[in-house]
Amino acid sequence: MFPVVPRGSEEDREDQVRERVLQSALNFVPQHGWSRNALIAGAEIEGLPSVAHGMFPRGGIELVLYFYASSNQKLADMLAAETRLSQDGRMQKKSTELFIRDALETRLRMLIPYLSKWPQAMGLMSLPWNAPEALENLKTVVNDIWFYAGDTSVDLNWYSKRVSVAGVYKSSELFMLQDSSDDFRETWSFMQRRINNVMKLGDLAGQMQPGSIDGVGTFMSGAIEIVSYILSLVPPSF
Amino acid sequence: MSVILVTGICRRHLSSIARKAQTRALIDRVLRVDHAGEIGAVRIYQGQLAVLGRTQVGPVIDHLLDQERVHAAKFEELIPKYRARPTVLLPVWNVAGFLLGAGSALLGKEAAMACTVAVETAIGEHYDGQLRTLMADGPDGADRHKEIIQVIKKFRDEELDHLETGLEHDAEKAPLYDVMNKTIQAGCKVAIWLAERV
Repeated sequence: MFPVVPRGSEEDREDQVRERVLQSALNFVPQHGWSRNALIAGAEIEGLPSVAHGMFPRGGIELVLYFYASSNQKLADMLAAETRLSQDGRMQKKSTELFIRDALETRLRMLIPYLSKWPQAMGLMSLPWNAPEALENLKTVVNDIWFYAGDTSVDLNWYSKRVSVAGVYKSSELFMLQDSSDDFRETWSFMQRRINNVMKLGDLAGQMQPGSIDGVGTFMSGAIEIVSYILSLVPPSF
Repeated sequence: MSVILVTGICRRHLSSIARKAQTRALIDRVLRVDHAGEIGAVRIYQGQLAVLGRTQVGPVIDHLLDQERVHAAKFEELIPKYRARPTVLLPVWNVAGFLLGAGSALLGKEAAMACTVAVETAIGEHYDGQLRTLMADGPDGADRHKEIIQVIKKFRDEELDHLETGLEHDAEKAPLYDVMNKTIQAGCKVAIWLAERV
């Protein structure tokens, strides 16, 4: 029986029930991990029979994807509110760099309650059959950040901007898993250094004139550095 | 409970989340391909001007180019607004468009006009198809996509004017007009198919 009868079409009701179960199941993640058990516990809290986890045939990954997407939505709402405030003149407009930095920090902080189980979630997302959706979620977060930062590029810059922020986000996320400093201080300074790398890269690319080879070497080593952080082949330097 | 069972038997509709995602994917595709197309058109006319700029058809082509520039600028405004992804093949359209324009112009002014006719025919049909799809997107498609529909309608009419301009300037007297027309139109269709996707 449904404790609250949701409105809308049957499919909408189904979505709403699923969402309630997923939301409740998140509370059990620190205890049970991103697993069927967390979903069962969530269903029971919502007054549904424990077999209701059958609504999630793919198991724990559905919980991970829900958490990812709903955190993205939360961030998008916050960024939208912030943009409105600065447009109205009630808040000073941040520089693009600072806006992105703060957005990334806000998003990463959403992982803190689940950090001990986050490596499991990252593992689930990297499985080949889950990767497309996980990538879609990563695309959404960087796209939201650039959109609210006021990006209007319609050429290949559109891609390079998103790839560089995704790189900063993913490498900082990895760093965060190992960070035991107070309030993740080390993570934020690591992230700032990655942002500086990207900015340096962008400046260099801007300076490069067609036909000149000055700066190509620096540009390439910077580019390789960024790529290697993304792939995390090299341990990040302090 | 029985109410739920009864509605369960009814035809399944998409949930509102799925419908939203579908509409978003549609708009994304529409804006990406149209932007790519208009950039391509700008480059075609630039290519033609590079060859024919000082001849008597120069000002005619110049006028076409100006309109295509306005079209491209409009889509450059709409892409960030609707958060569509621009095409990754932009450099390809840049080069291919210019080569098509300059190449056709090298065959003479009639061939350049024949190229215009072929391209604008393909674009006209393409815009008509998009208008149909947008209006058919849900019962209130025409209303929800009002802004984009208006833009596309206006541009379609202008592209068809270009087609007329081409015909008025002896496009049909071009060497191998039919072959050229068919080949370029086929090329445009491939380009449209690609730009919708990547």
